[in-house]
Amino acid sequence: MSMILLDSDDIAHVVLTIATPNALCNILRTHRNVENVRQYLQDNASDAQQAIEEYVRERLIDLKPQVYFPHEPAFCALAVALETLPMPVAEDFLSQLAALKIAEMPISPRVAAICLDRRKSLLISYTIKQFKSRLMTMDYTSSPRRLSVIHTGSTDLNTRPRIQAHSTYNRDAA
Amino acid sequence: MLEIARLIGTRPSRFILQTRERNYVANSQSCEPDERTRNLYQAFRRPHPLWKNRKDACGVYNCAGLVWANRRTSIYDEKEYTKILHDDGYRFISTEKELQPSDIVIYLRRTSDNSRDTLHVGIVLCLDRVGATIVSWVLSKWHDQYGEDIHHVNDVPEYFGDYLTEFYRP
Repeated sequence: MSMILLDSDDIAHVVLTIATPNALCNILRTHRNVENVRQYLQDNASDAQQAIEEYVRERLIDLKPQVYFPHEPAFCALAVALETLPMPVAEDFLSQLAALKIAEMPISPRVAAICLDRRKSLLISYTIKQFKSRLMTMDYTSSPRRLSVIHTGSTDLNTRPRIQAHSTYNRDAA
Repeated sequence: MLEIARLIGTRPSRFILQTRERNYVANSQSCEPDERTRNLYQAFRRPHPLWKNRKDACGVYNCAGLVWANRRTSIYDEKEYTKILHDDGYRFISTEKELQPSDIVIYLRRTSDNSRDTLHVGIVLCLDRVGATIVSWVLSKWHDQYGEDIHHVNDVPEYFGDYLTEFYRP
């Protein structure tokens, strides 16, 4: 039931009026229907893949050459709904849509590309946050590697095997 | 998942479009609307009884294509709008009082990181002076699938939200 919310006239009007994909993404992110679908997919993660694939397949039946794809607004909204969901099917849909270059769907690939970018930046900031929190909890004084640096004045880099012993860089020639 | 779309769909046709500085402007012509989209356009106009319809729902060009490409193609990307404003020597107009016909209006929103989100672009068509008040009428093409309407500068779709307007003179 919930995925059908993306087919609403309200979403279609938003997609068919806003000029730039960036502005469109920002408006759709706070749209009630998009939030509801995102929540629905998150709550039903085990069935999400099947639900998304079915939803997309059923709508693609209406794709006709040289005519605007009537479900493009719904695909834009679906891309934004999937933007932050940690599911392989979300990644698949976004990357396939972003790579699509057809005249019948001019906006949704641009929206998907923005969603993919945001997804990557969110992942990076989350990873940095995790990394920082691990550093905070790590007890440095008890680390043997750290102590060896203090006592010997050398780092463990000195003891690692070298892949290449001699430089191929020819200083004279340069 | 979208393999069938890639097989059925047609290649978007692009138009040779350059700024005065001969920089290429990315664009593509959109397809004609289907029956559902045409009906949606009629529903979209209903809450705005003062709008005067100039053209029914059609494809090919969007609002930016109407303003900057003579209804020949659609321009979608924000950075292209900035490029055109810069390269074509558009002058910023600070108040609505100074407006003249053929000036352009940009509807935009500021994002949390203070970047621009352009919602829509239109052409100032005429100005009605009622006493000290100036009423500006704007010609708009609503995206690349809806039609053209003449409307008051502030009579716009409600989901524009807390929009700002900027005026420029070519």
